[in-house]
Amino acid sequence: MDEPTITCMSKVNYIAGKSLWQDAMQRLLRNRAAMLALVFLLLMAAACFLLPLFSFIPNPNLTDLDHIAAGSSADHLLGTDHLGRDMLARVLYGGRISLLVGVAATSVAFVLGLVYGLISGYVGGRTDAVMMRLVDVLFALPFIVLVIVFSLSIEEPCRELTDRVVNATGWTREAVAPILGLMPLFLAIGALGWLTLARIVRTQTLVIREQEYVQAARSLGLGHLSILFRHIAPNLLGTVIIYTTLAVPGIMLTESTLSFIGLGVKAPNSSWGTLIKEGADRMEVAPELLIYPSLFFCLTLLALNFLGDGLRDALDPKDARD
Amino acid sequence: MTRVSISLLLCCCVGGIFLFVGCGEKGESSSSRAAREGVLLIGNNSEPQSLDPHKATAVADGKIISALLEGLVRPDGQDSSVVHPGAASSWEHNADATVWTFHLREASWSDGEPVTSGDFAYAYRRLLHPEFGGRYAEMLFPLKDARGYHDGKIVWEQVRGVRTPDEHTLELQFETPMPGLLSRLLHFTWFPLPRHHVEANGGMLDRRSEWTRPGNWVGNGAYLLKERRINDYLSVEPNPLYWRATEVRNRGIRFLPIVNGYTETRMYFGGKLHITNNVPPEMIDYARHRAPGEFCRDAYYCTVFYRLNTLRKPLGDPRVRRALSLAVDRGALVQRVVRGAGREAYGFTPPTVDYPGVVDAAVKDMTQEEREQKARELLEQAGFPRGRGFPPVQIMTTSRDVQRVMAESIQAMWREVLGIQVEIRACEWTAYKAALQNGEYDISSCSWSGDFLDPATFVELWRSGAGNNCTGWGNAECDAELDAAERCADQTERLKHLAMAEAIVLRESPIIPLYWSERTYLRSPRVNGWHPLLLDNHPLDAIELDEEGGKP
Repeated sequence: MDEPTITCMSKVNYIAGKSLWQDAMQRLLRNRAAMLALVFLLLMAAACFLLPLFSFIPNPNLTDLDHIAAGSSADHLLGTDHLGRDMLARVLYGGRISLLVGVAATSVAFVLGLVYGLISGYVGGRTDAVMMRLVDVLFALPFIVLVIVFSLSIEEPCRELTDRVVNATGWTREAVAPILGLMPLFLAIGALGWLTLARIVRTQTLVIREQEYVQAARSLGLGHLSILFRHIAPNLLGTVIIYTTLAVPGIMLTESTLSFIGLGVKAPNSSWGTLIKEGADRMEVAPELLIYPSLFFCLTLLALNFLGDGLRDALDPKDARD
Repeated sequence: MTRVSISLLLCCCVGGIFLFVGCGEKGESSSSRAAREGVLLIGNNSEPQSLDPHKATAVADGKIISALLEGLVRPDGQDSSVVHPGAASSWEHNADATVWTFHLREASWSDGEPVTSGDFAYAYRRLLHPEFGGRYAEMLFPLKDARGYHDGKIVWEQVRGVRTPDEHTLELQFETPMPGLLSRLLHFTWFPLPRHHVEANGGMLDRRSEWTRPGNWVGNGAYLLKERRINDYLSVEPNPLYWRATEVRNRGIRFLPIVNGYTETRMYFGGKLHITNNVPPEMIDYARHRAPGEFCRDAYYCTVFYRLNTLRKPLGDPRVRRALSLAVDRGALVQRVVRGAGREAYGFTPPTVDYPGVVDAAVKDMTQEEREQKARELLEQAGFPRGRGFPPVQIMTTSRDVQRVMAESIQAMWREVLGIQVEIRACEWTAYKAALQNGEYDISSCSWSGDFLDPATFVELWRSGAGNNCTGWGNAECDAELDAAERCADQTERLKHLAMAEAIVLRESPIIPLYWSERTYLRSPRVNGWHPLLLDNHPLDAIELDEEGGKP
């Protein structure tokens, strides 16, 4: 009795199953603007992180007071800044920090927002109310002020960490400072940038937990954690990814604001934000000091936005083009 | 694809609107409107800390206070060494200039109360009061017994320095001859206070008194406090009860606190200011080129220097301090960073005719390579060969553009010459001021401008424990020279003692003199009656605004 059925099954013209993710991937690959943006971002990251390893990029902090704001030459492809430092090197090193802050702070915000929103939305009831009111309270406080207070309060522990790393590894302070010195910034922006994400995740969770497949999973006796991370999280990941991509530019902007106040990147190191600030001051005298970093910054932000747009189109399950 | 074209279209629209608005702005600029109304718009660096002359220490505060209050004498518009009768109509002094008698004129406060000698005595008592904690109290220390009162050793009634024989006579007695007293009296620490008003608003020792609030202000100066908007402007209007009210040449002043010199210069060219406070070095060529007749570059009695906190390691070691000083290439700093708007300083007090200044001759005659060599040797002797093991120190600066650029270039010099790493901490002005006064810094970027035309205004800073010393450094020998100078009747002898004190300061290097600055600013051709002044204490009531001016 069994055998014919099996033969029958094997005869069915079998179409390979396509998951939502594969669909999305295909749609993304077809979106030319998004792909271009992605390639651009990869190239930019490669340039910022790999190019300075070659020796033809000079030390970005080496001043040369005899060649101030000089135009481009064989030694300095993009010219020099107001203290005779190589502009290309500064833009690349600045990009490292800006991209790093963008990615690191967003990751912190991503994890916090996802977990908080999931719990709030899934548990519901009074817990949800309390958790969301807390978010409301934090929302009501000015973001920048909170970030400043928070980053100042964790500055000292971070400094101690730097000292410990320097002592333990024997690296020079100069090499460690640009990254470890930014720890308060990553943490502060990330730790306070999750609010919107938490709200989005919570709303999505509220919808998804009432879906039949979640109820089915529950009736099958699956644990809460499994339901959360096997059934709910993957289904709202699309929204979260889109939001995150679109949040990176905002976070990079916050970083530049903070660097301007003196809480972010410390001189002589630079980020794109500080470079633009320095350039903006001197725009009548040496416009290229403003143009180069702005160009890099704007193109990166634009690419991030295009990529985010593309991801949204790709991950939208209701978009039934195929 | 459509989304892209829509966003491009939007960009064009926004750009077009900006262009349109830009072209449409052919109307009257705020500076020409203000000129028509007779109101002077002047850039004033930072938001004033306080308008109470006993709490203020910054230059920006002093400029506003000098418009609102009048001392015994008032400044001349063309020469910093000349004074005119102010609240005092005449004065005389005894043969050795130790006792000065001032005869006050019939004048009144802006609320109609008469200005009396008691108001001056009240003000001096308040600034010197042991419980008031006035930062600038040492300005009054030459008064007989003033220091004893300030230290709480005697009561005010025992102080012989200030006496008021009657309502219109003020007698000041000094420990030592004070031939140059009149120039000192221009400083706001010597101004009177409306005693009745201060008493009605919390009394003498109330540091939170609101007697300086707009609407609650009482003064005897050419102007009255009209309106204050934090971080926007502070405006004053002529005081109708001022005794020279008819000679006030304009109808008000607006002080704009603009810290960023680039912004300020841009606002000037945008028609929002008549006089700016400062053109940043990098903008000098641009400003000179764009407005040849409006760019001003005046001599100024001012030194730019670094304070070193000698209470912190490793700056307690004079060899380290000296090495740091020697490693700074002042020539490059003045040429490239300050763009020539100053002179390399190898001493602290800016040289004047009577006081050629003390320079570290040995250092001055060395080439920069020799200095750097010497600096490395000193640092090695101090136990940091090639900067190894040098603890992390910070340079604290204000957020001011020049200071930040300077700090970055000095940071690079120290790194390249001495191999040491320093951090830069840029603070907002009030935070900077507080950290400096509480000694919460390693190295701080400072400038000091003379309060009166005498080297004492510079050298006296370095007396041990002086209110504006802030380095924790003190030296008995140096104090003895300063005391000797104070007791000297003979001017040349006195200057010699001051020079010896300064030589000790330079040898011990609690400070790193960098350059003697000049004042670079922009002034509209509409402004009449403004002349270069070494002390930058312009009598603003003498400024007349030309409606036409040379500007469109």
